Amino acid sequence: MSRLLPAICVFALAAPRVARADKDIVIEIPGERTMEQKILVGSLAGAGALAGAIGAYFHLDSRDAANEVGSDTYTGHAWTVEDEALVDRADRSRTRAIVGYSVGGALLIGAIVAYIVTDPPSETAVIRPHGRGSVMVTPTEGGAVAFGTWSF
Amino acid sequence: MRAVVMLAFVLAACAPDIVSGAYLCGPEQACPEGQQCSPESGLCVGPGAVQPFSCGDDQTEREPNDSQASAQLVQAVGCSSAPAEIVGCTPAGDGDDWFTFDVSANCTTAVARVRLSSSIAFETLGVTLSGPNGSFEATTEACDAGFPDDGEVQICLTQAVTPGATYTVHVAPIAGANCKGACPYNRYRLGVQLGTN
Repeated sequence: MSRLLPAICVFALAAPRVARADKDIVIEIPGERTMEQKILVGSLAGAGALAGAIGAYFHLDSRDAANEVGSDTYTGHAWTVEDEALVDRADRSRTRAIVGYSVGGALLIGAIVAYIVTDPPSETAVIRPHGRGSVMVTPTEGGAVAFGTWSF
Repeated sequence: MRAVVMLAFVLAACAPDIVSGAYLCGPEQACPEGQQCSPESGLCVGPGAVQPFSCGDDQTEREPNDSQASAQLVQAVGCSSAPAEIVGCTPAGDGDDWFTFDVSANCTTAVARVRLSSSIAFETLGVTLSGPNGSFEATTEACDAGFPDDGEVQICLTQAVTPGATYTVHVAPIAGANCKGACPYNRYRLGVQLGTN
């Protein structure tokens, strides 16, 4: 069975694409992004993820500071400059988190757009059989071998 | 749009939520943003809940005691006793309070320990012990109990006293905080104790 598999694959690839002439085999070759395009998409996605992570870090820092100083009951403590500094830290980190999330989101959207824009077109190739143009299949022990000649 | 609203909601949780009355007033009546110090309670409250300063009903200080001649006698100061405590007040325009106590002639190797606790939010108060040996001012460094973050500041002094002599304790505003003249008042607790070295 394992030896039959390559032969089956050849037919499986060719079968759905056979269209044009009677003997021609038409196959669609998917395009590939250039290295620059891959770097562009990867860089945008990576930078977006990094900015998002930085935003998340400051988000958590802001939340910690806010939780530390915030209270819904009587604390028994006097309001001090340290408490004021915590409020400032929460506010500052909150602003940084917003910036991080915004930049990260914009970069990720940019990565998605770049991925779509740089989507390479696929090419169509026609394979014309030589000679009689027939495919000959010879059974072998435990499988089969396909023979044929084509031009591209 | 929904994502923006969600993000705004999540980040809103990063702003400190401090309810009215959660904190005591800090130095110079400092309070969280959006709140004000209520001099009556010494708490940081919403602007609508601010009440003017009052000395309260639990005072044991008795006026007039604005001069050394009219000093209030501190009761129950024995040779080795628990601190005699006076709850006092220095309202605006009446900043000087004088007290006096006698050291019994029966006391030997006696020292006087004086401690003044007052609100950190209002006018800074000082205390001076005067007697036959001179005058001595209390300091924060002389207190054993560090600096608790309970809205009060403590100043203390420990001074050898002469048996059979009379001493005076003067509580009055000193150079320090007074909110640029906006909080010329304070409440205090004065403790006087005699002991041995």
